Amino acid sequence: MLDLRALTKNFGGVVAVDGLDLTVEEGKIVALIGPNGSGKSTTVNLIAGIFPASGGAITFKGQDITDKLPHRTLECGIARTFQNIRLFNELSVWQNLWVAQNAPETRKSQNFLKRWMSGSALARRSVEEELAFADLADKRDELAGNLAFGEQRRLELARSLAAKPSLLLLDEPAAGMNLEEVKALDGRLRKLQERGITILLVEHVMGLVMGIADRIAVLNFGRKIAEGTPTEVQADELVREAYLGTPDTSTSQAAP
Amino acid sequence: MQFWYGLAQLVGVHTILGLSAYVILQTGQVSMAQAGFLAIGAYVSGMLTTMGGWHIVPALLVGGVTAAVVATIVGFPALRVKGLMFVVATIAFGEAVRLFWFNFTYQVKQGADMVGPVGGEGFKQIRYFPANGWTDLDRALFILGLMAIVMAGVWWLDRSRVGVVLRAVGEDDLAAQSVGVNLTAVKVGAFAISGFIAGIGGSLYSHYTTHIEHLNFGIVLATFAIAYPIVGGLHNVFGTLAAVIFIQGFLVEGLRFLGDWRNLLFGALIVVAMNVSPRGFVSVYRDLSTYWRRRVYSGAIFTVVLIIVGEAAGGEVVAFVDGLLGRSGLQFNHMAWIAFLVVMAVWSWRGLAILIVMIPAGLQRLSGVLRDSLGGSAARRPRRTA
Amino acid sequence: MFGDVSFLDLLQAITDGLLFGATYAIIGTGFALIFGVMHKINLAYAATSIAGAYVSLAFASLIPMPAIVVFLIAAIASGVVGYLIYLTCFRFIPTASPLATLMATVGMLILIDEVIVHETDGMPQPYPALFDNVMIEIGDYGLRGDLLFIFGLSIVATVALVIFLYRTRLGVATRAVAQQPVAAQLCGISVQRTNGTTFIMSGLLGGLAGAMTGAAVGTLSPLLTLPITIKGLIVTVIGGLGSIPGAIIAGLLVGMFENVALALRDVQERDLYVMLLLFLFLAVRPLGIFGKSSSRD
Repeated sequence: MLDLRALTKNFGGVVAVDGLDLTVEEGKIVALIGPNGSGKSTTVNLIAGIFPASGGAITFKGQDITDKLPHRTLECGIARTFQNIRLFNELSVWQNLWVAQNAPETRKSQNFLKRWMSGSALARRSVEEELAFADLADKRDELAGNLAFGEQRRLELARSLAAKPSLLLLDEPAAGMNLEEVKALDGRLRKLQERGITILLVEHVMGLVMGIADRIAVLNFGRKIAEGTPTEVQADELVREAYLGTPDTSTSQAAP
Repeated sequence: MQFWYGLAQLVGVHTILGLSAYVILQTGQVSMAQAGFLAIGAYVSGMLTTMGGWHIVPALLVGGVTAAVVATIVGFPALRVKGLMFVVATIAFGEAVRLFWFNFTYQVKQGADMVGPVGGEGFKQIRYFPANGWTDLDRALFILGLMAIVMAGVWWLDRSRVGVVLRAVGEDDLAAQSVGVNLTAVKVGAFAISGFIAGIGGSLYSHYTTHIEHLNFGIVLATFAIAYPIVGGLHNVFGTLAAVIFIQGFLVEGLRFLGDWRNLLFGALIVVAMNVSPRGFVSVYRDLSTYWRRRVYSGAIFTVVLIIVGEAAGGEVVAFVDGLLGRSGLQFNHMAWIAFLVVMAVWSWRGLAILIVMIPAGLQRLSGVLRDSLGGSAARRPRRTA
Repeated sequence: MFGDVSFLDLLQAITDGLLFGATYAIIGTGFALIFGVMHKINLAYAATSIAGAYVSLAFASLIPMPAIVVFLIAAIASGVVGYLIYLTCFRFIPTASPLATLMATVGMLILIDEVIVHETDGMPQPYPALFDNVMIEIGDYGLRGDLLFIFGLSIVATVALVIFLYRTRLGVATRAVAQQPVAAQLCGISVQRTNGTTFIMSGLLGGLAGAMTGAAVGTLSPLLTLPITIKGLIVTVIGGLGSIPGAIIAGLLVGMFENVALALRDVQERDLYVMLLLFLFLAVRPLGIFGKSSSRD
């Protein structure tokens, strides 16, 4: 479904992503892991279209989306969440979801006038559905900035779903969560997979990743150093050295 | 009454100007171009009615549309830059428009005279209103009516999806784009709408002043344009109206007797206002308790009554006070303001509580800020200052 | 277009413009300094400069003093006014309200202008110039002594600023606060004091620029505030927000361009061309010469 070929991104002298090849199959949950600075978030930003790639190509459902702006990739069916939550804090929960009703099918259901004024019944229903799924229906009029952290994360996820995406890019959705919340997130992601949504997940919380991912790709210094099922990746030598760590100290460097 | 009609027209036009800035400010872009759009509307509609013999309403609309078209054209490159760069770009645009009219001369012969804009001298003889028998009252009602229509339009915009999208873009345009909002379309669209509104305001402006020149549309006016929604508060159109009344009615007109010192006080008051109510009057009003809101309303009603009574009794009161103060030349409207201030000071022990919402709540807030900066209570929600 | 203007005249215009552009460079630097640290614009900056120049004039009329001292007093006075602006417009207004700060600086701009108008009854005042009767001649081409002095002074001021920012503790603190205010506080740096100092520094520069403008033009008038503000903003945009080297280059560029436009066309149209230069930059290189790019729009 999503194909990255030799994807490269330079920031001045820094090569953030270096010739990345990755394929995400439809309906699967693929996780992108690696140490900080390995290019995971940059990759997500490239796919979403936040900045242009320096080289390579991104193909989604056969279409080349390498140079598309974020609102266009959304139209193609790709939605994302942000590592540091970017909600519209001064707008209510309902309004946050309302702004995001930009899926092509929602658009088709309303003519120009309706879209900008009252919105169609379909759009409203969609907001209600997402509110229910995120368990935020009773907080609909609360300002997004006043929500608790966990609620904000749920709202951000709900907002990304408002666009009826077929591919969801999640940038560290479990950051800052405790064990309970991670379990709840795991459940929600499985439900999304049941809905048929493909997920590309950038994450550090290994408990979540190992439990839910169908395939894992490991990045280091912008390059893919390993790819496979969770078991395969956990056993990989390179991955252990770079990121996961070895179970015993044996030959590791002594601290000064 | 002459004075009040004039004031009503001034407030009407400036509120429209303020609302044009309000729309674009919602998207988080500070635009100093409103005076330029005002100028376009002013000159174009002036030329249509004076030189083309048009009726005022179509001339207004064409003035507005012309400004909107220019806004769209300028909007595309200008909106590629953000924040401060955009401010400067719009300042430059406003100045370019002013300089354009400064160099623009086009006249036609009408009867025995030549009418039309003459570069630096300006555009005189925009006599549509007097020529068609409009009285002061007619003009005032027309302008206030249009102001009400614009206010209603913007108020409704605020409540529709457009308003929510505008505010979302203003808050975090990257996030907005990531949820599917076409930033260019929204920003240029908002700019065009604001251009249209300013164009209409400009058309009214040129017709009620009858004489315009390039200097009228400089940076000072552009600053006023953004001052109104900022000082009034960006979440409510009534805030802009309140700010216009405050700035034009109270500061500019009411303090006219202060003569030269007026501008000084004006500058100082803006500084004070921004320090005590950084989010605008409306937010301060929202924070007021019911007790203080009642005081504000009763104060407003009292002023209106005072003014009406004064206009009726007018002459004698002025003469009396003149005699008391041993001077002459104070007009009644100034007296009304002074009297109101005195009465409010006496009536409210907390100090000068005047029609404007800001000061009583503001003083509370000022003491809070001072307390915080001197190491105050941790219970207050921390506000980062620099 | 080049018809009645000789090459020598053009060269003269370019040089004069370049030298005078030094004042714009300094103003731009002052703006850049404040923007770099506060991430907000100080619209009252030009008023600060002019106010300092006026104060120095007041001192000069009381006690006869060499012109260089007058310049110094202008700088110091502007430094004080700069700190005042910090207090009234930046210190107490929450960082989350940039619009309020903007309006407050506008309020101060009006206030300062009005005080000047009051004290001088609105009459323009003559300003002492240095080396104004010195002219280095190379045939028909002349280098104005007073402009050369201004240029030289600007270089000295810029070098001093660079030394301050990169070699002194306070300078490092300023740059730290500009980049990460919270982290700087955690290191024990007082953000308020550092920012206050930044304003004083930019005020010093501004006062110097104001004195230089007065000297170059010959008179001082409150009407100078607006054009200087606009030029300063244009220079800041062309040079790149918050970039000091950008401001310097842009200032010289604008000064040169402005003077050339004046020589080739007339006074009426000169400003229009400067605006067009700005639009050109915005269309072609919106981030300015040295602007830092963030994400794509």
